[in-house]
Amino acid sequence: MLGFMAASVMVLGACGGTDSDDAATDDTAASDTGSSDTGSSDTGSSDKPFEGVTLKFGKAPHGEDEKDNWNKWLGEFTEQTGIKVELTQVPWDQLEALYTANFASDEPYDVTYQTSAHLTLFGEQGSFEDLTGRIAGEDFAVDRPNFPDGVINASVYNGKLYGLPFVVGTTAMFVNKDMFTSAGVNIPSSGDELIKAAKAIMKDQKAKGNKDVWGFYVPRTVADYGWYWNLSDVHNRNGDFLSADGKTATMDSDAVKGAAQYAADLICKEKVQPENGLYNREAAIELFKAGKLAMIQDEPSRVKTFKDEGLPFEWDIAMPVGYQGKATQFATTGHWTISAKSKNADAAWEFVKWLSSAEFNSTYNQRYGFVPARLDADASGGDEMLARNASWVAVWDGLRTSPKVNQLLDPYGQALEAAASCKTSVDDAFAKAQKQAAEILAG
Amino acid sequence: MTTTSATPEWAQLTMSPDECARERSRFRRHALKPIIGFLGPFLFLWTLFLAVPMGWATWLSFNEGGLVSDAKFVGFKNWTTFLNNDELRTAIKNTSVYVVVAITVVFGLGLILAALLNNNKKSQNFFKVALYFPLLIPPIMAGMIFFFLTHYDMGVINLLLQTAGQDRVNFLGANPNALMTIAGLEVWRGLGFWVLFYLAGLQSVPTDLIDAGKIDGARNTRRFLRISLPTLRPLMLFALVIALIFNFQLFDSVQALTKGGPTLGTTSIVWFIYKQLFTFQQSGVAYATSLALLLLVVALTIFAYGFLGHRKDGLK
Repeated sequence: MLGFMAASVMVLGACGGTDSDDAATDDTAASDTGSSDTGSSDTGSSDKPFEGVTLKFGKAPHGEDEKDNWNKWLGEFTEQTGIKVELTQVPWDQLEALYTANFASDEPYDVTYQTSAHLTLFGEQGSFEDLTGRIAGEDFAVDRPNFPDGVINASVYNGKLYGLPFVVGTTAMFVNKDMFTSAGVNIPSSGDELIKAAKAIMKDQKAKGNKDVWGFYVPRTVADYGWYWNLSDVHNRNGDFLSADGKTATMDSDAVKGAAQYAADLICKEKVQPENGLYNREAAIELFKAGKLAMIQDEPSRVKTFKDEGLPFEWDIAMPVGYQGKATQFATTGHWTISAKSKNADAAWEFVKWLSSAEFNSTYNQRYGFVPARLDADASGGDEMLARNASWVAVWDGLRTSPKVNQLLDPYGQALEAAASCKTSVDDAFAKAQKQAAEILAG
Repeated sequence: MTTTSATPEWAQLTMSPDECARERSRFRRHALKPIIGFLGPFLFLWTLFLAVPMGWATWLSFNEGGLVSDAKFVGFKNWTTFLNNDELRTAIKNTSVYVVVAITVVFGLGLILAALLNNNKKSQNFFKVALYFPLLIPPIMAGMIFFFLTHYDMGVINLLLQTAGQDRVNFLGANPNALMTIAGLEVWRGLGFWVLFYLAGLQSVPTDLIDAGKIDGARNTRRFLRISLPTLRPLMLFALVIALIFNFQLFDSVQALTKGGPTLGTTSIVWFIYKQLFTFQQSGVAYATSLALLLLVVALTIFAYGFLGHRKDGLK
């Protein structure tokens, strides 16, 4: 059974094995072609105090080319500091299993990338060092003012900061401008306008013989993290799935149910979005690229991909529409963490500082389209679309971290999927979610 | 003239109680050596990879944490938590439906194909390899193959349906299609194994019984139903037990194709355990559920033996 298998893994982990390393050997890239001597003592010279140290680095990728990019970036870091870094790419869909095994072992990754959904899940179990002291230190005094307090505070739990914010996620609405021009409609800025525009485009395309064109798509299934794409609309309605103190579930609130009803109506009533489950996120991206979808909400990392691929029509990004015109941005935050068991914690902090620098933040986000957590980084690199995306951080209202957030988002996602399936009412779905969430919080 | 001793020879073999105990002990040591030699490696691995993890899992089912963080004893809390979990009830229902459908279909098809192959010696080897081949494909790869077979827009099956003028089918995004698609994938993967298994069984049916049936005028179908099938009963019992154990552990295809959706329609017991253990870090609940699943499979195994094993009317 899986539990016994996990127990076996833990037995081996306790013996010093690093199972997840083995599991992802093929995806491991070292920043240096020399020998690996993880755990060696800090014996470098004063300008490179950590020369000879090897750090283990775990990260889930934001793009298919990330491994190649890291080889280049980590090489530069090694040249500057003498610290070697071994990267293991952790697949998103196995992330929790691999990190659990890794953090249970005696030699976990020294540095990892964690979203706000996982930061305190593992942090509260003692996996990460509290960085509160380090970011208040002299060696970070110049950098610290560039990190807005709002971004830092969203990642603090019980007075502890388990990871230094690196990116603030946003989502964008990709629009097929040719379809809008053809139908004579403008890019929508509210929920009602979106429905009208989508219907007009579908009608126009149908008149031109393109029957299988849809107006809009955003994932509503648990498999594609439906909650992730829906919570901005809950925030637009001045609500959330948890109370401000994080102690009470509010999944049956008007804001949550209103956002879910709008999501369900797009599919069940207005019929401008395909039936839930017909197309997953990637399949819908293919629909958009094939000119069969007018609007799709996705992550801005697609901007560069679409530009590289050269879509056969005019397209643009727009702020995802909001309730009655109020639009906020929602996404998780990405952080750099240092393992509480790291034998090279100071070298790991050196690496985290480098990763969080304005220079690296700009380089990374000019490729992957996220908004930097620090104010002095330039994520656009002159790209007008990415610059616009970065400006949306002004209305960012992201996910507050909490060790139970994964558990709580599960019934939320299940309820949203059930409502979007058109077979369960929003009231019934979210009454059940509220009951489950209350049990989770009570447990 | 030869002088003989007054004491008989056998009497000279008599040992003192101490000597006897020493000899018995020596004999036991001697006899134990090969036993330990043969069983030792297995017992070592069994202890390391089964007994210790099971014991540890049992202990952790009464604790919170214990993997990444320190264990904290909570008594029966995890057991009451999972027993009251709606999602687990759905998972048990889904897994049970899947087990019944998958085992019925794979055994039915397996028997039919084995009987056909048994009567067709000419191309038997080709079909044996062809049928067994899917089992050699890694589960995740098999999932990907099925994903592209059943894709709504680009899937081969839907393209064929469209060509035939039929509506496309949403195989993975609607219920109960998704669970049936997963059952189809597992049947496809397992079919070759069961065909070979039953073929071996059919080939071991005594030919004199078949010949006697022919002389009595029994046709092919009747000979299969009345002679071959009853002979296969002990084999079928073993097959049922193995199939129950494997199918109750449904996970790979759920992970590859549906992630438990849509609307929990393909959530299996092991998928539930996986989520509790890794996604939610509720290791105690996961271990309690794992142990309950073990007990369930053991109970079903005993039931299967009772149902098929104690029947006396079949040929043995």
